[in-house]
Amino acid sequence: MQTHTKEAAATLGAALALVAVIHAGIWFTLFGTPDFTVLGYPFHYFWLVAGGPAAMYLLYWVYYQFITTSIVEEKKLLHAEIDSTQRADADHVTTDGGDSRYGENNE
Amino acid sequence: MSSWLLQTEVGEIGEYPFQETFGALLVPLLILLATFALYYGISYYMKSRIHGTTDYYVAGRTIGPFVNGSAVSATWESLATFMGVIALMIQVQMPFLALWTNFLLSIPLIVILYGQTLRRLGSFTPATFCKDRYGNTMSMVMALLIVFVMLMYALGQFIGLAQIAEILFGWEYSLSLLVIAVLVTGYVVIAGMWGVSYNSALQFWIMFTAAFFPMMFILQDLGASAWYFPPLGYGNLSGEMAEALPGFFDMTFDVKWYFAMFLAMALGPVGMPHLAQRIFTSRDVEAGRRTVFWFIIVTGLMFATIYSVAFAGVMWIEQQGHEIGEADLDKMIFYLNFAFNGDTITGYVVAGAVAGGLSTVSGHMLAISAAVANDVVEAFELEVTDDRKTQFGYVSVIAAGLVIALIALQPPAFLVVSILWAFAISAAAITPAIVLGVWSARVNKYGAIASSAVGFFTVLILSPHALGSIGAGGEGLTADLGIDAIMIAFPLSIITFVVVSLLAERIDSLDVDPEYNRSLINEMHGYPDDGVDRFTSAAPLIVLAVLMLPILWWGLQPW
Repeated sequence: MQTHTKEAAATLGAALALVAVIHAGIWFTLFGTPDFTVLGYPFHYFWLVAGGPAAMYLLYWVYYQFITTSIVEEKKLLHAEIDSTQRADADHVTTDGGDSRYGENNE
Repeated sequence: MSSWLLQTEVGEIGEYPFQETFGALLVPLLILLATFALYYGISYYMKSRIHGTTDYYVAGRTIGPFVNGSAVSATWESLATFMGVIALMIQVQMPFLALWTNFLLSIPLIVILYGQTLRRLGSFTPATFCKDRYGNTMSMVMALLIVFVMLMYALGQFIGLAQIAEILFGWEYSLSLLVIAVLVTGYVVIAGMWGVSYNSALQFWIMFTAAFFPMMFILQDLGASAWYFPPLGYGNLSGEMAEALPGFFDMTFDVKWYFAMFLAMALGPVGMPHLAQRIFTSRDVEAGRRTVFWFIIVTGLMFATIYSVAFAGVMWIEQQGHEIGEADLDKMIFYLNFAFNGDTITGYVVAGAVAGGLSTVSGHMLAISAAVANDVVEAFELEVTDDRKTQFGYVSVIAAGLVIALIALQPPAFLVVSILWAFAISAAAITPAIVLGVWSARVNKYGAIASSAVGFFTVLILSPHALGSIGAGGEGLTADLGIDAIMIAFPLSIITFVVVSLLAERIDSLDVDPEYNRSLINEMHGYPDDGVDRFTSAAPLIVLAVLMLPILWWGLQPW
């Protein structure tokens, strides 16, 4: 899979997962509330107040730690490939050094 | 529904059998003055760092994750956190909690969907991005939408802040408004986003401590077992609450309501420029991503604390047998503190509420300023130096303060009742243009302009605030918040975007070249400009448009 396809799919997946964890508190309730309490609160109340945001933090951490990092690495490789190709072309055509912007990295 | 968010007139101070206002004003006044001295001190200190528009609108792109996370949280929370949210929690109960939690999704979604890409591009506002992506006409459309939405939003903050001054000092409403307008505009204009960023971060912590610590004592007196941690410390009172108010934990509405609410309350704020602008202040893309961690932690704690205030408010009313008018429920956090903690601590709580209003309205003013003084100037391609643009920035902040204050003197009813409804406009008219523009090279200016126009006018026409005779079927809260309108406007906006964009490609005279954006798309996503076409498939757009059809059909069904 190409990097940008992976990036788009990962972004969509992360966004949907974040929405899903918050809405879990709503859907569970509408389709049948789990009949138990957490710290004394009805489950759906606890989920919207604390469980959902905590799950959101965890999900975002997974997105940040694994998905973003791996895609950033792949982008760096793409930049490096272009950089080396250009340098090779420049060496081949002329002895002047290139002034490429391709090596720029905003990460 | 009635709250400061939705009031059309300044409410009378009622006569209740409990303390409603300050007995001794000196200490609360000193606390409030001290906080303003701090805000002005920070702005004055930061003033020397303003050297150009990048400094004025995005603090030179230097803000780290912790400061930004706190500042985003404060900008996002607003005065409503201390007043409107508590009142609505007491009135609407669980559905409002679900609605507000959706709001929490907006910042992570902004960062994931477009914040990091636009930060990489160096945009000041979404309109700057629209200029690069779609050209000048769409940039103008976006700037106008930004100004409209921000004015509506800021108006409520000004009115709320003026009402606090009115209650606190007993001044006339117009005098309170004038003083608030001058104070807010003053500290924003001095140091732009540099001052606003650090002030907003400080304001968050004033808000948090003003909510958290006083609640410990209130919950202890009400009998909460874990009173020392207000966000989750009152679970043992749940049974008592269920007996006193049997419907408190009910979800009340059906699936459609919550789905529509997601569109308005999660996707609406995604398009809000004052929130996006905060991410653009990050020192780099990485810092922008890390901001989300702090945002979730501090906002989660803040909100959970505020829910405890609403819970305690209901318990207190039930235990004491008080009857409080709907308009006065906004002041519940002050009533509780008067009753349990006295004047001095309530003075600090008032300072927290004021901090909430200031942090948000300062973001609005800077977003308006950036849209007018930067984006509009660039759209007209005027030959203006950076220094002159910065000067325009100062002037437009002052003008924004003046215009908002003048409208707030005698606000048109539909504007005052429509702060949350503005989210529906944002969701339908702003969010699609930004998000699809980032993730697809196939959408173009024709689609963007058509989509924004269709989204904006659909919400406007179906709104009870503008044309009362035409509606989308919802009533009361559902219609007031634009939740019914968004179920029609959002899918229509997306379908229009996709269909018009793809049709425009096939009309030779429109001269649409999908490759035109190739370099821009590669640059904003951090790819090398290697001539490779990325994000060019039409298939995801067609799938998205098809998915919108059942949503549109669902939205057209009776509520």
